[in-house]
Amino acid sequence: MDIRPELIDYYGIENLFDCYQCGTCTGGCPVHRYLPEYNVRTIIKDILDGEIDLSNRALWYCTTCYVCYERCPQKVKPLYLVQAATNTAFKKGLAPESIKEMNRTLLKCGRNSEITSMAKKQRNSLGLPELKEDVSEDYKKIAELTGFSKGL
Amino acid sequence: MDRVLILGGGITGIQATLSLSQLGIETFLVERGTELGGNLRMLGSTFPEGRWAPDLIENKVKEISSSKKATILTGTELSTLSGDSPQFKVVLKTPAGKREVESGSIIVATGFTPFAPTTLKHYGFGKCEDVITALELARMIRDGKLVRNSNGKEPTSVTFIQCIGSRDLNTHTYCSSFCCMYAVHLANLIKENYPHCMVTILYMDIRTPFYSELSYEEARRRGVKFFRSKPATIRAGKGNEHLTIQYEDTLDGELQFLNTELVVLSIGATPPEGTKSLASSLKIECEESGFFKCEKSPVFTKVKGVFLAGAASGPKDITTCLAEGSAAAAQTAILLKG
Repeated sequence: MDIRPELIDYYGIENLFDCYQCGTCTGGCPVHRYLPEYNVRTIIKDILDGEIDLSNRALWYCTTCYVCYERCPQKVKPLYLVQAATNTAFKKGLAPESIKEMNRTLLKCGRNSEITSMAKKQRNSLGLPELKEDVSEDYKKIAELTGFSKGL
Repeated sequence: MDRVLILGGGITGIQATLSLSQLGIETFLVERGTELGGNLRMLGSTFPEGRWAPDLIENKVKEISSSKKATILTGTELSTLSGDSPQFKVVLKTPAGKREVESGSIIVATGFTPFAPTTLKHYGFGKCEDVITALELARMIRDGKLVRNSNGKEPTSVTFIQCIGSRDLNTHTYCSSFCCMYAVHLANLIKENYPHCMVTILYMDIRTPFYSELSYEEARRRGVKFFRSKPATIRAGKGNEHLTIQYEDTLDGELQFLNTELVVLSIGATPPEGTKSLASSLKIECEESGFFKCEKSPVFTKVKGVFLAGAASGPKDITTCLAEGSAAAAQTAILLKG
């Protein structure tokens, strides 16, 4: 899928095409070391070729450690490109089920994992106050306006 | 005024002086350092044809030293400049004090300074003794003593890293043009003199135009390994036995850990210190890169009577420097005699 126009218009990344595929980003990437299917350089290459697969789970493996961002000799900001790809994927509803689930929970109870009866019991025995399950109206509005809810 | 001032006693300045002396024009060759020869003094065999740098300098210096037309001033710098071509009034700062000279034209042949890789912390230069610059390697090969600084032993593997201080927005954006060529040449020299040494070159793009392409071919035939990558980090192994280079081989997309005994950084060229102030004294302009700006064709500047030659206007190899030295001399002669 071609997300280049969106990158330039929406994210303002203009020097996208400066990338000369040197591999400095992937070479220093701590995620790539253990999960070789996550390769920043090939993600950028796919974006440049207009052939990025937004349903690829590996897009979501970035830990945002900024090593690629710091070292990129062309200042392409590889991290931001990956984030732009995941954002686009989310908007199009192509995010992995686990990510969607987490965000659904967020809209439902204001936290990214549900409050279990076990947790309630434990808190009670420790004398901790009860957890509230509420989502602020502002948050719901933001989710509506940004199209966040559409991605779920 | 039939006299020419040449700034810079490197190979370009020497060549310009030599050409002008042969044309019967009086010259003042001004060198900031104590000796003539510039960057070439640190080299041995040069690419692509393997010319021996010390001989190249020595022969030409001998010729200009014996010429009655050339005056060599070492340890000297330009202080101020006034007047116009063909009647420049120049004040020189010599070790013996100030000296006023009149000159019809000026040739700027100030060359370049090798990039100092101390800012690239992830490559361990300055921290690991076995991470050296290509200049140090060239000196070692010239002196016939290829050793690791850490233990004084001959390395069994050498790895070059290309584009150090070139093509990088964090250092210099331009390509220094000669690094690929000297790296391939040095790799061939290592293979020739130390056949059992494993040589690897980590490159982004190999740029070896014209005859250097033959050196590149020869290197591949000799078993020099080429991997397309810009490494992420270099770390010292246990007990300094070897260094580990972490990089992604961009042709197959796999992360690699390469153990090597000696890392050579193929450094590029940077504008020498004082380029900007010299530009303002001469009333000429600098490029964004920091080198002097040519006007229209290679040796001309926007000021009449001030010429550029060699690496003063950007990184250049020896052959081009020699050509531009003579070209600037010819243009000067046309200006003064025409």
